[in-house]
Amino acid sequence: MAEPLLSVHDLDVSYDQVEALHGVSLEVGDGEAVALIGANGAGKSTLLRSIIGLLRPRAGRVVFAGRTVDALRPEQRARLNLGYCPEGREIFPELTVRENLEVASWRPALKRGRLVDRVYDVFPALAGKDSDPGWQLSGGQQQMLAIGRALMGEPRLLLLDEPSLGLSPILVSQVFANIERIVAEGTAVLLAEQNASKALKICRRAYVLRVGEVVLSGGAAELRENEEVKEAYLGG
Amino acid sequence: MSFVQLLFNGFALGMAYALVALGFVLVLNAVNAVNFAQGDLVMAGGYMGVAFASVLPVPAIFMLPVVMAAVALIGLLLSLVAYFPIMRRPPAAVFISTIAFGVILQNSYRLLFGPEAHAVRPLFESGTWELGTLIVSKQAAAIIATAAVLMGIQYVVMERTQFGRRLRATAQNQSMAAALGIPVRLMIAATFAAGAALAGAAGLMLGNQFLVHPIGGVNLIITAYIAAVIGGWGSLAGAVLGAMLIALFQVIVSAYVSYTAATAMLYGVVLAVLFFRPQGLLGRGEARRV
Repeated sequence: MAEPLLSVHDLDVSYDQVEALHGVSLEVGDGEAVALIGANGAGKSTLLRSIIGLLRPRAGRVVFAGRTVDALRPEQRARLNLGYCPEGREIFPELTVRENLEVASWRPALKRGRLVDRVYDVFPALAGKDSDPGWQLSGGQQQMLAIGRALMGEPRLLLLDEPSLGLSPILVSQVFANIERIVAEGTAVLLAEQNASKALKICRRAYVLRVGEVVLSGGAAELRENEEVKEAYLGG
Repeated sequence: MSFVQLLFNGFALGMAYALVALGFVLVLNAVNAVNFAQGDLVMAGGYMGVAFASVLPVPAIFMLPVVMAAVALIGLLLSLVAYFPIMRRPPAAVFISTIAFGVILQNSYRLLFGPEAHAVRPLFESGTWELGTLIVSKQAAAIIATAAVLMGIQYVVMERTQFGRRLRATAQNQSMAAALGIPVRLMIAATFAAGAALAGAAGLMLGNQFLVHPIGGVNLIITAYIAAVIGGWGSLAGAVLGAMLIALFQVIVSAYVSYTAATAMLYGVVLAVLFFRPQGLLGRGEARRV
């Protein structure tokens, strides 16, 4: 069996004395889309922030692309082609749309320009906003920019944290269609999402987090039929 | 002195102040903390001008790259001893540590150069040009030209290069910049170095007319601080505008009333700006924050 692209082993993370994650383990294969489902406060964002290195776990191990990354700083992990799109977008408000994208690439100018064009191809709404500062964008456009910016690092794995948060239903559908396209083009995705029904539609497998622990995992189709999942996350 | 001449001299002083304020705001934006050693870094530039002139008697402009590089190294040292070790503490800690670093610099100057004031050589040459009824100081003209070139370089680097974009991204959101692969600590250290280099250049320019002395930086850091407040906290363009307004105000009011009155009135104007436009002239408030 092929080695997973990402494997997380027994991760424990605490905020001061409060334990946010306990013994979390999961795997994401190359090119695979995996959902991370759970209620607000379940620990989804904490897990993604720990994988990219913004939080230091108390215990456990993160292996990405065959390399243990626990001792690496976030910038070192990102340079291994690990992409991160945070909850709340966190675009750079004073940088233009193009600058927000360019700043995340390590390629020479010509190749960087092609990568920007590729992002504009995935998110045509951004192309017309090329020179606008980030703070002028609508919430949906900012979300697209945040995902596009993560793509500029040509990630092998994209960590997506609540991409549907605060968006209208139409925009949510658009964003999920874009994520499907990104996966179809070969990028693996670990998608933390409260909108479980949408997430389970585009992902092959899923993990269910509750109060910092993985309580269920399996194929997306299987989890969609699970009574507990239906009751808690799919509106019965 | 005619009003036009006063404007010209005020403009030259404003350009030098603007370099100090630009460096101050660069660091302010990068680390969200005030670097109170900025004025003492200006004096470092002046003292280096004095030291180099004793071994290499050439116009100060030829010393500019060396002085900027040397003061940039002091800025780097400042980041290593007074910022990085306490970067996770509240901004007030950095405020105090940079004051401490500044006091160390002041006393080093006193030990190395004595308590008396020294003059830096002019950038090109001293003297004046007479243009009809207008008498133009060559040093003031050189300050305007040199500072304009440095500001232009600073603008191009910040706005047109990938390095500048990364500096700005780091200043806006350090953790997000790191998550995108930007070496945040390196960017912060580079910002301290760049801010110090600008201060050093200003010291070389101001040290001819206003002399350098161990505590000469105190007034300059206050000027930079006020420029940042008047222009808009965190705005680079605002810092330049604020510095220019302060210098013009000081020069013109000093000429028609007195320097003491100019200083008192300047603080009155600052209070008025804070009252009527607390976000500063070019500040846009908090509404735009995302």
